[in-house]
Amino acid sequence: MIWLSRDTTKTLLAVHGWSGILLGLLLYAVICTGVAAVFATEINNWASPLTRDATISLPAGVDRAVRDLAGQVDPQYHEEVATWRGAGGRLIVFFHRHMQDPEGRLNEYGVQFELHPETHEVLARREGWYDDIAAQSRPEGVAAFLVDLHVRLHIPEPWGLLVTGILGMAMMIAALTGLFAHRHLLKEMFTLRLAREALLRRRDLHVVAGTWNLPFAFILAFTGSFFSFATTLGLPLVAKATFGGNEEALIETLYGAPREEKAEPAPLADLDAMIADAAARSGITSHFIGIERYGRADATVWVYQPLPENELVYTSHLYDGTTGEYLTERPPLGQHPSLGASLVGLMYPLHFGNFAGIASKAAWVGLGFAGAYVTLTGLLLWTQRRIDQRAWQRMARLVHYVGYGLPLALACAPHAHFLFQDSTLSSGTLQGFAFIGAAAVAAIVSLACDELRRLRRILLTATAVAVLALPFTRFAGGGPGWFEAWSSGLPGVAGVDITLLLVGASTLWLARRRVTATHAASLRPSLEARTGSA
Amino acid sequence: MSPGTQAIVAIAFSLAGLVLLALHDPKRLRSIGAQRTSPLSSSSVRRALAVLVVAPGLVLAVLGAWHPFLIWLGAVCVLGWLVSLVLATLTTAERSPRS
Amino acid sequence: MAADEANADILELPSSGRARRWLRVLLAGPVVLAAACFAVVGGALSLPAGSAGVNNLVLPVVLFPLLWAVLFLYACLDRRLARAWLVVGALLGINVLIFAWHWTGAS
Repeated sequence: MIWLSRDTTKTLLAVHGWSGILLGLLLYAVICTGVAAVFATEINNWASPLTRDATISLPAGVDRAVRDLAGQVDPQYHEEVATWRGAGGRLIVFFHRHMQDPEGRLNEYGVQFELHPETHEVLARREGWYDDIAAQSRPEGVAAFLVDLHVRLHIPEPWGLLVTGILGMAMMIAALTGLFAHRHLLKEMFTLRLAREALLRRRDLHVVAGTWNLPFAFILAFTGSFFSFATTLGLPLVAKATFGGNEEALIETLYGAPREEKAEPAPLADLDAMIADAAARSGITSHFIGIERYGRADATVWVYQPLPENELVYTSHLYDGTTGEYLTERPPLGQHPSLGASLVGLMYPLHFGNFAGIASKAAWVGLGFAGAYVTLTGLLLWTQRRIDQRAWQRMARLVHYVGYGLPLALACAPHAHFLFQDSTLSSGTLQGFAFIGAAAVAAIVSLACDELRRLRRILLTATAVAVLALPFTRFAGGGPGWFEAWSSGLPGVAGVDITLLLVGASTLWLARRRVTATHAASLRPSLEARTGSA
Repeated sequence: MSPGTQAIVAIAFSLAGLVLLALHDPKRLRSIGAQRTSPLSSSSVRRALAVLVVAPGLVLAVLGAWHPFLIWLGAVCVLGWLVSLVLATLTTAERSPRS
Repeated sequence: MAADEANADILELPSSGRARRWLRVLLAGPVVLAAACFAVVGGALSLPAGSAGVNNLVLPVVLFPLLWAVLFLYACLDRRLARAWLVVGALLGINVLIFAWHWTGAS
């Protein structure tokens, strides 16, 4: 496709291969968890259903709820108030202030309430740093475990974000080098020689999947790296350059809404009226509210909505907090629309795929699955090419362990969330134990299993069983049955259950699928004994 | 037409083009030992089919229908891969001797 | 190849394969990372702010991953190691100077 010298192509392939093999296993974990995280909201609504109105839109009566709770909280936490919908439609209200945490980072500390969206009954009250509060929230636990694994591999900040940022870079480099190294990209995009010898088959599987996945491999890698590096490297560097290292001043420039300071007390205007006004202006109901300087004469209310139809850059509506007067529509950054603000705004729909409901999320899951497939087949291809060397035989075993063991560990984690609801340990800790336990058992099986094809079959079968069991564990842990969920207006519960049953059945079929006789006959017996097949 | 419907219609047109391109892909046909290439394997026809695949997305972009455009783009990338995989699996199953 | 060897002699680069490989690794690793980081700093100080006053702050942050990836690939692919060092070094040097000039001027 693009003519390059033979030496350059060789170098590109070397960079492509080595960056892939050195970082591919971790990248595979990030991609797999990213696929699941696309449906984080649906997963939370399934794991912790509460009300039929489990949308992300703010319910009626937010104004009353915020006023009632404000009186129960130390006024120092009125610096900022955030309101959004949580798992199962729960209404979350977080009173907090910004201060330096014990690690020296600017963080949020305050009191968070979890309310029933219709009755406003307080279901939970938590106080502390935002990250600790989030970790304590059991309804959000299942998706939070997946999302945290995706965002920072459960490694403490900032190192976890730096690691995932580097992995995103590796994926970008793999996409770019793959594009330039593959001379016959378009000619071979439909050619899969599955009946040929294992090495050629693996090569075609990897190349064809990689070709089709190229545009989004680059987009997802680039946007993912941006999210990881922005707060850990980018903004600190810019703050150092332009604000003498003062990150708070930089954040204020980018996100602040400068207004004349008036510290005297003043009651907040009707929040419900502001929410209704924002909905009328944009044609879509709000899903997040931020109130700055609650209870002061210079209070500002920010109202956010999901992306309106065919819009790709989000905006927010600003209101005078004491009069309810509409002030302006704000871009993602700065006071006015700009190239920088638009680029940042674009990152969100391109990475999360949540701009058009289930349709866009389904497409993004497909793309993520393809990305995971490309990564795994690349690792299998690389190790199979070098299978005569002892070190690469061990690496092939490791690739099988991670490739087929990671989905197993991910499928086992939520069982702990459901089965130990009354535990004093957080959902994240319980799931962590289950994840590590499953990974440890898979590791023992991987070491003990002499044939890699058999190892693949065992791990896939175990994964299928773990996924098929999830709806039953959810029910055993106190979740509603299908009839109860349906009659309570919670069809999503059965929907996710059925999806899990289908995924489990498909995984079982994949595990037990035999290679064709033609393919089996083409394998050298010694190679077949050592490597198995994908 | 709602964004969802726009996306589905666009994807349907592109999928038709993808299937035809894949079925008559010269390299794929050679790799499975096909006796003769089809008239739809000629360069001009393949270019026309490629236009059929890409055109719905261009229309959505020109109309500013960005949500359906992104869904279309993602779906085409996934479906192109799946069409190749399904065709190759069916062809291999057809041609393998019974064990 | 002969021209490359001649240039290598002129710039007194080590001709042994192992040394060249380590120089390539050093360039593609920490030097490129430093160049990309200082490009963010230099960009924040020298790019136009735009009507909203944020472009210079945001564009370098947005482009940082792509810049790092492109510089890394360039450092790996340029057959002439000396030229690669010059290019990356110049980019690093220019942005270090921009930062130093701003910092000394500001203080």
